[in-house]
Amino acid sequence: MITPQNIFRHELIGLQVKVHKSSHNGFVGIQGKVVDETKNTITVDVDGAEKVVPKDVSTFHFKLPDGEIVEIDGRIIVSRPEDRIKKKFRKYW
Amino acid sequence: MIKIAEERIDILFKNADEQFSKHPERSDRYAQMAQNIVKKYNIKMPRIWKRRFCRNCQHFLKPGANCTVRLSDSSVAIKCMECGNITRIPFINEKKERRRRKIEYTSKEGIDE
Repeated sequence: MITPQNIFRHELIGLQVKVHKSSHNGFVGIQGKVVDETKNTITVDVDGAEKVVPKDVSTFHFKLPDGEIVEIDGRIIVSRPEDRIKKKFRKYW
Repeated sequence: MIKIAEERIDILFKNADEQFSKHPERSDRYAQMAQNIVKKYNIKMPRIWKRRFCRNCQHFLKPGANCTVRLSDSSVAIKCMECGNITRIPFINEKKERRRRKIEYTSKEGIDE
């Protein structure tokens, strides 16, 4: 189950996302479904068009399947998807 | 950690199944990511999804669309249409055990009479 405590280790593909803040104005306001993920980027499907958003300059709002909304700074999830399972992350609590 | 890896593999294959008809390249990418997780953490692929991808070209397979499933020579032969590779899974041991169990059952009935 995806909970707010383990979302940084879990799968992001298939979740609804909205870019809340970013240092570049062109990325703010993109919302849709996560389609792909690499080490530094997330691909979002916006009404049929695919947009690539870098992780380390943006803040995301993820919507979980049971309705909660979690806000995550992009710098925390910078890593390859298979590396994120066992990784890091004690000090940000 | 291993539990999260298993959940992730399940989520990836379910999404691959949904996206197959409209975006087959996304399905292939999800199947590849799931195989990466299995390789890296040395866990077993779940039984439901074990036969749904090609071991040679790592594409997502859907019977009827890009693969055929036949029985030949006491084995299940799955042929991938993308690369032409045939995967054979034998079931001769299950057949022998069934035959053995049937002989025991019929011979016991004979003794009771």
